[in-house]
Amino acid sequence: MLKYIAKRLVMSIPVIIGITILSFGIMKLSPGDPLANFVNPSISMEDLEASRDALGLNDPLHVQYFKWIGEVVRGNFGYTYSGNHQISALIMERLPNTIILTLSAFVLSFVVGIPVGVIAAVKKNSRLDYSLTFLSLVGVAIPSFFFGLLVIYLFALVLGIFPSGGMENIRAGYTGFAYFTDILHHLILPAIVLSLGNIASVSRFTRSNMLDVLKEDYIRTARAKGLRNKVILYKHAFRNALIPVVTIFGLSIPFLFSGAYITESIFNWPGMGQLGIKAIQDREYGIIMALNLITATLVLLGNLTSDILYAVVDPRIRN
Amino acid sequence: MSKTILRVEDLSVRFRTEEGVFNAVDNISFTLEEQKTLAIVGESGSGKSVTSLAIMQLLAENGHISSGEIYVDDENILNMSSSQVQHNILGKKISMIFQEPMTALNPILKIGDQITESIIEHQGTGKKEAYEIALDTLKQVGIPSPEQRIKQFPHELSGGMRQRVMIAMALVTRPKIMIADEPTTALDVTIEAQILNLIEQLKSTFKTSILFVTHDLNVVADIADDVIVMYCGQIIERGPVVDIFENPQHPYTKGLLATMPTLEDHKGELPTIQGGVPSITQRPGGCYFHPRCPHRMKKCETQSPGVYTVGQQQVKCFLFEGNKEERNDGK
Repeated sequence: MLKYIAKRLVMSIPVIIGITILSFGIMKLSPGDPLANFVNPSISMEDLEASRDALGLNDPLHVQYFKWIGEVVRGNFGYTYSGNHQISALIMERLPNTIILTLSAFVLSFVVGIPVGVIAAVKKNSRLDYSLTFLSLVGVAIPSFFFGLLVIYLFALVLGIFPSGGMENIRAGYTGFAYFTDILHHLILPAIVLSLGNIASVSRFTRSNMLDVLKEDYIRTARAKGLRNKVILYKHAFRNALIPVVTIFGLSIPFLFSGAYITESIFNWPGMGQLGIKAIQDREYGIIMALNLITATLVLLGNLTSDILYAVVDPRIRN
Repeated sequence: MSKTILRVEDLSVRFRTEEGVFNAVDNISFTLEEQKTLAIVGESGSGKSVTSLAIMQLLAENGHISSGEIYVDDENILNMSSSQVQHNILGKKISMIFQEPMTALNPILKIGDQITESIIEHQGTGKKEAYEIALDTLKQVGIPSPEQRIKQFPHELSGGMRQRVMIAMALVTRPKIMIADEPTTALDVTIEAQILNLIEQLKSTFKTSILFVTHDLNVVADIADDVIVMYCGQIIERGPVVDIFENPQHPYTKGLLATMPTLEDHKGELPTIQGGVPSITQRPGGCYFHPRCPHRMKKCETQSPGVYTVGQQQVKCFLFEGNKEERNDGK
């Protein structure tokens, strides 16, 4: 098992290197450069070139890449072109907030999606199954910005039970446990909005896997043994149905991260999404590259977790 | 006369398909005596597997038993509730082993777990005791180093070993009847012989009766006491194994036996029965076999023959109309 994990870890090193090259390359290929936004129109071409030289923008590409990567491995993503802020500090300020939101949505997707899928499969073709199917379709189809506005209207404006945005009540200045519940209170709506689509797809996926597994020969064997329905469903069928669901553990991480950009904007959640959108507008290449790299690494970690979980649930993969 | 352990009477199984409702099994009756082996023989589509699945109440969703009675120990299991059947019959009085040992075992549960769960379910023993029984049974089915195997997963075992595990699983609760649905078809010939020997040997150790479903006449000759020949969901001939093999009566049985290669004849070409089993949606009128029958008469095309006694055998064919009519179980 440890050997398997080690192997998977080693295999992800070349992938990370590839990601750095790609995210660097894409930035360099895009038109325009950071100076274009900030220079005084009356500046002379010579002075402009001098600034480019000073910022290292005229170095050969590989030199620029190695300069950048050399700093990145030391945790330094550079400074913003405007204002000279340290990028790593900007990100560290916001990354935890995004992780809180994404992780909650992630947990919610599976904690709600898997049981819903199992129930729909067990009660196949019942009214309950059809209703859940309908809700899932709605869940997949509804755009998150619209659903977000809907829940804000309903729960924040009409019912007034949840705040409409933000992450904490700044005026109250809570500490300790009260601070924790305050964040939780702010978290509920965005987490629901972010996870809705994922809950829907996880439940559909679980349902179809469960139905497939119930047709397997070993389920017939279990029935022939005279086992009780509950044992057949949960001991024999459910655990087998879970194996493919583990795959979307990893796949749902990039989905949730990119979804977080929109959800964070709707709910004014101070996460990386807000930072990223602003960075794109300002052509802050350093920030964009750092965000790409961090997101890609998280995705990689998600896949790694999937692979490890695979081995946990499926003995055939272990050796 | 030995005791009857399983009695099937006028069993019909219907399947709903997009083209309509069809009888996969048509009014069949048979009995299985204590510690005997009854073989059901037929080509694919003859209804032999459906018969065994119907007894286990494991029919696919679109199939159901439309009429008939199934007596196990003189109790009609079709009158029982499904939980009664689950609790008192399946895995306890009747066990079943399947054709595909590769897929019939749950891939993510250890062998031991899969064997002990039926002991715990049906005999109410503790885990430890069940484990001992399982270990003992694995030894009896000839699995080497069972202490190690019991902790392994199915994928760590060969096909032959898995089928031994299936047999151990089926016999561990000491059922009175074991239904074997083509248990050796997926195995290669040497392993097949081993498994057949094992089943034969366990039949006497565990005092079990066996209902053996197969298309393989060589296997039947090896293992059966009595034989039922099925065609298109009907029994067309039955009798003791020796009589069926030495003196087959029904043209279909004769044809089947003629297709068996023997060491003596060297004619080069194997005889075949012309045509194929008609699909369930396209069965002909009259005797279902008449389009392929070398002896067909006019009435074979319109009437279904009765069952006539010939020596020890019963044959569903007009050729024997002059003989004593057993009972007309045709339509």
